[in-house]
Amino acid sequence: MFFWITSALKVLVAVGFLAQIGALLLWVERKQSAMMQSRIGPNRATIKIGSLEIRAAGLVHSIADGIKLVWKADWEPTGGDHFLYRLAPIAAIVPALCLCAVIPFGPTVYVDHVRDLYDPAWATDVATAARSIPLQIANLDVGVLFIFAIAGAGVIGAALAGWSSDNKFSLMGGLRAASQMVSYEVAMGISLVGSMMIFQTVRLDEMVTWQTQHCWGIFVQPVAFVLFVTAAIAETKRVPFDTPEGESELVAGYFTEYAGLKMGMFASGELVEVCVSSALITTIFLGGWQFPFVQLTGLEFHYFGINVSWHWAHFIVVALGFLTFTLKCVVLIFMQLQVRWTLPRFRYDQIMKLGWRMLLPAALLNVLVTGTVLLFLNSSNG
Amino acid sequence: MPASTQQLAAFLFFAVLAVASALATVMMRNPIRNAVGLFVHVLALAGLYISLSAHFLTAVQLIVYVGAVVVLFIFVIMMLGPASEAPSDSAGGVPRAIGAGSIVAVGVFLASVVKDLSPERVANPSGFGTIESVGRELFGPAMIPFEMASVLLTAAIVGAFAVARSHHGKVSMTTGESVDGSPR
Repeated sequence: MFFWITSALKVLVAVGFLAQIGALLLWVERKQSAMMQSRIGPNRATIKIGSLEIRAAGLVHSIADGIKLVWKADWEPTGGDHFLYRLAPIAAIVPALCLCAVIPFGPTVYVDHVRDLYDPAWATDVATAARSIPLQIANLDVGVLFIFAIAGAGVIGAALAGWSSDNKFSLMGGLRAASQMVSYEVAMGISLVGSMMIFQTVRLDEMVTWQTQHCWGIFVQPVAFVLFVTAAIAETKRVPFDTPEGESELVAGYFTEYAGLKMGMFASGELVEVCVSSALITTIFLGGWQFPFVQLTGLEFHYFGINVSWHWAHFIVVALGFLTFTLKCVVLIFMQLQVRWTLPRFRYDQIMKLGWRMLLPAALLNVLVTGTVLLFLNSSNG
Repeated sequence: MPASTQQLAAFLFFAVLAVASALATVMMRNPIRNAVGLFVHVLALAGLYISLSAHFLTAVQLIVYVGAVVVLFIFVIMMLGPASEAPSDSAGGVPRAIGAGSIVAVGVFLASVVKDLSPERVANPSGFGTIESVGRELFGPAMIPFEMASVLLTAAIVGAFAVARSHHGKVSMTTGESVDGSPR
């Protein structure tokens, strides 16, 4: 019963948070682009209560946008396939929301011991373990493979939208989305093989544990980090990889014919993907919820002849872990938004060339080099 | 180890979904809906694999079939456009009779196999279906068939490439234009 209640709560919080993140990130994106273009950005939308005017630095615009999307005429193209037209936005956003299920966003919480110092025996003690809350919705044996399994389904939403709209621009956008996402998934998957070999696991919580005990993934797999981040940005179909929408060529690409909340689902699905991919990069390359030099027992700094051991209560470590994870994600989200306002759009053939002729060989080479080094290290150790 | 109600419910749900979507895949007129039917069928099969605790197989099923096969089908149907619509079904009585006969034959065969199965249920060995156990099988006892399958797939890719390109003469990879003057 305890398990079901905490799991349901975790799902509600995570999905509820992600479903809202679109509105928040839209505001961040507008403000950031305004900053980069020496503008003020959105600041006119106001909530008036008597003489009180609430602008919240432009955040009210996101509420106004939401209201507009809900009340907009839900126009549908007369031709095309109506059933698939309605199915497509759902098929686009559901996989993005599902992805968060396997990402650990903090260390396991042992409810009975929140004020005590962490003890590894808790994990094996049956009574304590039964009343523990892993801060991860589902701890699957297949771990990272689940991410790729679900991310693959995300392509279908964009492709169906392009087909069912009965519009040549939409069709072109859908085709481009399908080919681009399939191409970059390959490089994305192979770029992680090196990390799996080093961590010797595909489970994301064990990857974080390895990084807590040794060092962050970015230091042992720097090439994979660059490849994975590039492929992840391409997967979100945002600038510079946004040829599927390419408004100067294809109006709005695969969602040209969508209005109101259906369009909103595509737009917020994109931002949810930005959020989830940041969380994934954090987990695999940036140590997940680990704050530098902090173990489950507290601060442990034993370098350069300085030895500091500062033990903290369990709940402080958990809270710090959760905050650290959030902070790392926010930094990565900012970086991804920054990329959008920095780089111009690539040409379609450049995107394909980058995916197949540069990222994929580099990822394969990374696997080979990592394997060779690991083999050498293992044989020299024993 | 008798089946629990949840296991039975999960099996029935996914089995009915699998059969219904398989029928949709072959019976729908619109090709893109066929592909969507196949998509749902693959998801239902993945659900059945989960209920058999074959987790790795589930992931691979989704990665390969949803991520690659179904997407490529949809891609090709989109490329072909209206040309991919099937012409009206004009199959005569003989092909239909052969089809019906095959279904009956397979049904009888399956029924005879199922009838002889022992009703005893055997517990899964520990670690069944995990990446580790499947990996040990693949790179241990099944090493040679596994590697031969990869050689076969490579040969198939090279063959498909050769067949697809031979009609066009030499075509530049970058511009797509004819290099040796032969018509495309």
